[in-house]
Amino acid sequence: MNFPALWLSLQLATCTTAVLLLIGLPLAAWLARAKFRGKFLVEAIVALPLVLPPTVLGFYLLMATGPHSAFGRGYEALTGGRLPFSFVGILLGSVIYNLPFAVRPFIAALAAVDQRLIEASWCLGVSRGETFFRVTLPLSWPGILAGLVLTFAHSLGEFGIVLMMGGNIPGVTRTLSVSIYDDVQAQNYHSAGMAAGFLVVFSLVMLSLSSLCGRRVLAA
Amino acid sequence: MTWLKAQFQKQFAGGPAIAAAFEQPVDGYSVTVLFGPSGCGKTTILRCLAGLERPDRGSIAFRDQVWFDSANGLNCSPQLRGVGYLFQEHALFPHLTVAQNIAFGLRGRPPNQLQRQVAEMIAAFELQSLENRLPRQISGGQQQRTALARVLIRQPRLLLLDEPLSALDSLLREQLRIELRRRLAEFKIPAVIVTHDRTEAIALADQVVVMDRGEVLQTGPVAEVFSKPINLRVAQLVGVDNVTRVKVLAIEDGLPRIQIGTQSLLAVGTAQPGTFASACIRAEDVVLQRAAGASSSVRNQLPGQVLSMTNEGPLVRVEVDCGFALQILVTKAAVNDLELTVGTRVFVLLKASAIHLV
Repeated sequence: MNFPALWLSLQLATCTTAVLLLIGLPLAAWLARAKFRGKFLVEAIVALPLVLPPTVLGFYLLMATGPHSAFGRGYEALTGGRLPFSFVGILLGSVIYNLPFAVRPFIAALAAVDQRLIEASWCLGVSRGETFFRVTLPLSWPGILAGLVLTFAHSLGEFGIVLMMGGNIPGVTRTLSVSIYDDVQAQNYHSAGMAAGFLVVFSLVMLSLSSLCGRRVLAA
Repeated sequence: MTWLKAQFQKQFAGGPAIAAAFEQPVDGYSVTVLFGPSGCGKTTILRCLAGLERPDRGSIAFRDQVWFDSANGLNCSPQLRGVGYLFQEHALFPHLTVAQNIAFGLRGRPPNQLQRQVAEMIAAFELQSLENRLPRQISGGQQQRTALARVLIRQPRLLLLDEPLSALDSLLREQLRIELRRRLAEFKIPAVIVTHDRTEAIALADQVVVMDRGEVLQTGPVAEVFSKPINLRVAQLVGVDNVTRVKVLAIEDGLPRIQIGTQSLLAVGTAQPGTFASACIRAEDVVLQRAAGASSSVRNQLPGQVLSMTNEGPLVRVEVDCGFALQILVTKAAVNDLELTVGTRVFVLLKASAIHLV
């Protein structure tokens, strides 16, 4: 098994999960309660990576962040680096691609919290933000944890979008899945089999954990 | 005297327009009951008063503070209104203990002061030894007391109660109705209570606002609304023909003897001598006869005089003055047999069990 690739995949999965906790939770909190006209469209956009092939998303991301795009030029002027073929680049791709895997379980967990409890807290003089941390979060954390575990497991095996956005640079963008592809191309079946087997076992454990967390939500 | 003044409209897509219009003195203990069938919009009005729902038009003012005014877009948040809201199923926080639930709305006070206040509330609401239990580990009545303590510890300026007793079984309900009234009086906090239960309305209210399909039909003191409905719709909704304030004189063989008008009668119900209660008598439960009867099982026999007669389909509503005004429903055949007209002298037979004290 290619250990530098495994290490890189773990870094990518950890960073993706952390970023999605920070931006996915507010997004889910908003979508779980807000009522507005274009809500179905926002929900569809969040769910889009579920059905879109990663090559399509990767293609647009590459075009949008490349040195010929306004965003790419702005990023280069600001940081001196380029997004495509860098770790930050594949992280961006991975975050966008994993958005539904985090946000959808978050929404389900937050929406399951009885609205009357939240209103009871407001009527006791507690602000909206404080209510989120003292009522909503303590009652929905198992579902949120389930979403995080799912996101981590899913982004650990990231392949298509990494290949489009990052190519195949050892130690920078060659993740575990990319290294399996390389090994197969080089007819190095033993190494590919080790990595593939590891991903199967790891994913199974993570999905079982996620399912156990989800069950806690129902029991509570 | 200072007031709560509510005058607003609210309509949900596909629902009836809900219009609130009432005033209530809020200097001390006073209770307004919003009474009507389920789905008539009473809870929406309560939620608008709490700031949980925004009315479409109108205004809400409490003392000299404007809570809502559609004219200048003003809408005070629930946090700033300082009301206590008691939810239908109590809405206790399931992840917090009884003591933590009660302390929830008290923040930013020194810990020892907070602890003392919570201990006082726990003692006042007889929740000792339950402090560390979770809401699902205590009974329905204890949950209600916890919810009430959680709200009252903040000394709200106005209490809003949504069907406060409906989550309890009927045996407990009667007991807690009496307790609830005592607590409200004890804490001297004005309250608006929503209920569809007429016994609850009569027992708790000073003022009743009768609602149906989003509309306020009648507003007035409880005895007036229940005994003198302004129209048939209100009469059908309130369903009790005679409601009179009475004084409980004594208990005789387990039955309360009450002073009603100039008469002293036996009734059924739980009451303490020396207190006041409301006596409810349904018009169809009263018997009329021309002469004083021989001995019978009926405990109360009163001489009286017919004041008025109104046709109601196959029945006739007869109003009799027998020391107090009493509505009686009899058949047309009975009117003919007894030769009843206005001014006829009659005897009213009233079983003790037909007089229901609440």
